[in-house]
Amino acid sequence: MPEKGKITYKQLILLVFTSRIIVTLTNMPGLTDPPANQDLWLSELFGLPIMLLLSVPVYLLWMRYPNQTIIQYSQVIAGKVGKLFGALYVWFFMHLTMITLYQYSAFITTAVMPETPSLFFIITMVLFGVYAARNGIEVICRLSELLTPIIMASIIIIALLLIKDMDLKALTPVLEKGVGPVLQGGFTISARTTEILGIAMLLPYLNDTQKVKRVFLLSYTLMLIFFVIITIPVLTMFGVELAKTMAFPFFDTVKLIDIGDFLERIEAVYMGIWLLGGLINISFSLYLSVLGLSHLLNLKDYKPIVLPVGILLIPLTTLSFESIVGLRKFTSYKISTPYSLLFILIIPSILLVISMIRKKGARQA
Amino acid sequence: MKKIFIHKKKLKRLVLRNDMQNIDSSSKDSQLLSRELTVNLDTINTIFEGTSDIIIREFKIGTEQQVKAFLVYVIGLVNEASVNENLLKSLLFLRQAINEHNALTLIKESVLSVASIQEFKTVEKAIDAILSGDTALFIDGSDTVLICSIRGWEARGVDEPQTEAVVRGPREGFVETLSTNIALIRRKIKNPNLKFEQIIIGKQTKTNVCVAYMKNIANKKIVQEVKDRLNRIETDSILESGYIESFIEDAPHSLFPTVGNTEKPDIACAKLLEGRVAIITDGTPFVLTVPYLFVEAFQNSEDYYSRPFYTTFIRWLRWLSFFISTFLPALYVAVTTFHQELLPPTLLMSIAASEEGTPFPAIIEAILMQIIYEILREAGVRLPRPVGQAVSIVGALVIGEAAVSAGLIGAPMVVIVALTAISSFVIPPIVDINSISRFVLLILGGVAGLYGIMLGFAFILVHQCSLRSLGVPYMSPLAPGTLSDLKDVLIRAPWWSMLTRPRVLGGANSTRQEPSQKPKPPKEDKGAK
Amino acid sequence: MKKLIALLMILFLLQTMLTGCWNRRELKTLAIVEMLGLDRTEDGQISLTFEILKPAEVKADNGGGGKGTWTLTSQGETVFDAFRNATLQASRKLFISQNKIIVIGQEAAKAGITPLLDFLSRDHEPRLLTHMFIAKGTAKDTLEVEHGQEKILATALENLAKVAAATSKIPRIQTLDVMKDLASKTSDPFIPGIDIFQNKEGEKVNKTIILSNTAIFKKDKLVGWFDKKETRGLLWILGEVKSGIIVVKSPQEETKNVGIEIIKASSKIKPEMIDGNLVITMEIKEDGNLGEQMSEGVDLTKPDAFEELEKRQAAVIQSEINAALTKAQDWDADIFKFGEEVHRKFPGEWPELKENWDREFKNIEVKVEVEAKLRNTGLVTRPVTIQQ
Repeated sequence: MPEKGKITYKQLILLVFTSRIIVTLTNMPGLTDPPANQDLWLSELFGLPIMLLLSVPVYLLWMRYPNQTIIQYSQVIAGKVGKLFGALYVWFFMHLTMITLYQYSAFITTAVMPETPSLFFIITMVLFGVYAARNGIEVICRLSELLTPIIMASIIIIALLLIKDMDLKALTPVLEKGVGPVLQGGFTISARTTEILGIAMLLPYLNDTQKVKRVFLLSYTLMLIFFVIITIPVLTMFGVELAKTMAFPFFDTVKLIDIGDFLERIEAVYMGIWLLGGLINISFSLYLSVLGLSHLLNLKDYKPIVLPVGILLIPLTTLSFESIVGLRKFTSYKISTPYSLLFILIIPSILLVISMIRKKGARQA
Repeated sequence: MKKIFIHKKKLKRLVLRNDMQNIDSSSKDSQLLSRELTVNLDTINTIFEGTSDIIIREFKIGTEQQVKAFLVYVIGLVNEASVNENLLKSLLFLRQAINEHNALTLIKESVLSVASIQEFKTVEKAIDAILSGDTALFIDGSDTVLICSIRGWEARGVDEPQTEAVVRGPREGFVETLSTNIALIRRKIKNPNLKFEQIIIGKQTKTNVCVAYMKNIANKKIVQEVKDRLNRIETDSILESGYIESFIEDAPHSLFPTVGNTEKPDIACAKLLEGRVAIITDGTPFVLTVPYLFVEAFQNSEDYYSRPFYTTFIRWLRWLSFFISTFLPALYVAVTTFHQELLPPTLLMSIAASEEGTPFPAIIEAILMQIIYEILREAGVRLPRPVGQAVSIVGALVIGEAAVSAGLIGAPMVVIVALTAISSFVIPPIVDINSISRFVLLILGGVAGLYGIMLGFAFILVHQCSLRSLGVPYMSPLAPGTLSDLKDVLIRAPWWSMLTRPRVLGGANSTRQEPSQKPKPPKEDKGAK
Repeated sequence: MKKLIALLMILFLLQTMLTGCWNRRELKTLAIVEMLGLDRTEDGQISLTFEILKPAEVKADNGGGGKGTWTLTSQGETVFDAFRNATLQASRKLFISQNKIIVIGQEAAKAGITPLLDFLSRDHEPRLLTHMFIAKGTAKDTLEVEHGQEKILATALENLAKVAAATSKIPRIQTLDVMKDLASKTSDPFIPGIDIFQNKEGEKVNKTIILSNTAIFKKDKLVGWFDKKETRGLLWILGEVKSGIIVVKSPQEETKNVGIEIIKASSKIKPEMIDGNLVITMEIKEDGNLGEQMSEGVDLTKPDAFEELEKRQAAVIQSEINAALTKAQDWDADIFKFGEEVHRKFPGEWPELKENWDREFKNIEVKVEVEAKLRNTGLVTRPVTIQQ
């Protein structure tokens, strides 16, 4: 196996949590999903059971192939077709990295430093991702272990600082459109959770296999609690209607902190912390792509290909998305939901069925 | 281009020649001693030819004066009075009958009133012993040399170390003599499990190096690894423990030290008791400790002698100072050049007003001031004491005040530099790391603002996370997180709650004490008056 | 060899960084804008007036008589255009992140403020917490007035806005509040107004800024002004009265006034549907202290006098509220956020009501119930002149 490191379940939870949270912190895509009103926080809470449901195929596959990542066992299960699936997954991870890179550089250039070309940010973020990924998953996990508590604490502190200005009436009326759209919202939010696949790729490297269920449960719970912590200030400070027009809602919310006339304008502090989380996210996605690629090509070590893949991503990113508008259309729920469901739910289910039929190389439970 | 290649070839040839010489000389030294005294005498004279500090005293043993012998020692390394009394006198006035056959055994067992005697058969070992300060006794008719350890030389007394001063706690510091240092440690840990193993490193200097560890606490793998690494060192000289450090450390290219050092016995003992290995080097008071983790820089011995609440606060202060001294100049430059919206309006006005007339952009100012500060600091260390006053006056008044009045730099910049400087001294082990990382972050901040600083910070963090010190991750117990060890990092838990030794060192014996150590007021007597 | 290639690749990429960051701006190259004024000119162009800081002047000890700021006016076809055109006059680039106040001229407000505010929310520099005012005349004139206390007019206005809560006759509105109201489908914004007060001292004409009436908008166009009484009525309804003085006639000495200090106030808005018509019941609760009595012959600190004062207090509050309601319903401007309250109470009926909110709002029957209490009397019980 190319990766010889081992990680603890706590590290995995924190890593996955950070990745997902940073995306939401950036542009909160849930605001335009159904039900598109102040019940967003409810949709997020309903997301928990749905996320767990979506993870079932991946979990069952892990139980049958505990030491292999999805790319490896898809080759075992389905041979040549499996290899095709593996290639699709590598593409998926690479595409995910590209989307993340583009979104983040768009955020930085729009919100903080407009005159710097976004290429600069893309290049530097990729270089960092390469450096971190080369050092292995252990180092990435250690990094997130160090930084995630800081990120969590900052989010909580920001939410606390905003309490005095929150207008809780903005969260009413609850369940205005009924439970249906709220559940649908929960579904779209869960479908966006590509970190399910991240967990799937890293489960073979856990050093304590008893804790796998805990990994799934705890990471989703943490994610969703923090989603709610992030969403409520946005909704209550701006009101739903205004929030829907904003490109980076939480960032604008941080700008509103004003305590006693001296604690204001702290959004740059938030930027710094966000950046640390974003870098972790990019290293993680890049690492997944490279790990997948090395499994696909049966390489002995993934370290030599990290830099080339990273550098390759740079032109791919700038070429794939011509403008932020195109990216927004892609990540809106109409397109991104089926796209991610393909990888999270459909392909694993197919693999699971084939595996149960052919019983090839699976560990008997 | 051609010149470089030629230079390389010459270098190779030189190295080869040296090796050949060394091989020659080494083969000579493993030669055995002879039974003939005159041959031995010749050998010793040839080897020590040209040196005036070796004393060779020929004499005849016993009042009957049958057997010839000679002493060799180095002036200044032996306790001459003792040599005269215990060695020469007892031999010269020997009354027993003695001949060439029983001389050695008789003398060794019944005559010499010297506590430590060894026997060697090779010339090399005899020379090593003589040069270490022992006295060698060559007896005619015997091919064994008796080495008597009667060492005594001028050494610095045990005194408070210059670099690690404390308010509360022992003021003993290590000295340059290996045996004294070993004794200082032995006095604190009266346990037969405390082992000292000696190694000799350094082809030319043949320095004595001692590895110390607690057999029942330390991790056997770590101890073995230390010994392996030390044995692997093949170099000319070991003059200071720093040389050893550079040969055994895990990450020679890194900014961060993975080997710790200390000048105080109580710190060394505390680390030994946690399961670490200490390396004591003859000739320097700085004892190395491995493994060394990043968080150890923030732990001071005094923390453990004072009360927990105050020391917890001081620990947080140390973390804060660390961040201030690393990030403050960079943050200042980044905020005033890229993110002016961050500053509160009045602060912005003050800074803008003071930067109005200055000729340099903020980042150039910052770099200049940092360089000047480093120059001042280095000068302050090197200058002899009487002149030191002048340096501080020159530094403070001229550079600070006058530069601001002349409009060369802005007043806030002086404040920033001063703050940075002072806070970097709160944590002595970090000073070197700080100086460099400060510059790097400063440049990053000036080029790319807050983004650059955070990026640099992230790079440094990744680097730190990837380091290991003898197998132990450098950033433990922060990452990977070991909750039980954190109580000594973020806060300073009181002694009665520190039930286990640091788990990260993976040692054998984890429990330090039982949970019932917390002091409680005595139970009330029922029926007390 | 491989390492060399990798190194070259990295260096090639890094050289993009070495050219320096484009966003770098030295403090000395910035013109810090403290206050912004927006006007429309006769030919449909946008005119912006900036109050720009001169840091050295401000920092100088108060002996230096120079004005701490200077003003600049520029024009353009859009707000952003006018903003950039300003650099043709200023020797430095304008920096608007520290901007404290936005003033919109009356004519521009009448034409609609949403187009003017788009730049302020889209660009990353302006902040949403700036205070907004509508100028009775043009914003340009307002910005050119000097203030007696502060060197920077913007600081003066900011402080004015903050202390206005002491009378509760002027609302404190920031850009965020206006944007929230504009985004809402039913609510309408309101913004405090500034006027210039002139008095002649011999030859010199002294101009000072004074906060006066409040501008009421329908959607984003200015439709009218509330005077101070009506503004307070509005604030009563929104529950934003923090302090102030209610003046009532003194019982037993009807020509003299009694001042009651408002300690706290709250309002509850309850929408109900009666026979298909919307009825809103408003419950206003207020606590006050006897602040002063100018009627020296009466001892008002007796229970029945207190009751009488409470009744009169409630009457004053009621009249203020009614005044505000009448005018707003006339203009059809839902500045009281009734729409949102109805939305919360009747989510099912809301989509229909929303469509015709203009009509519905006019026809809402409002019942006002005021409960005003009097608590303390200050340090004195009865006026000095009354003998016990």
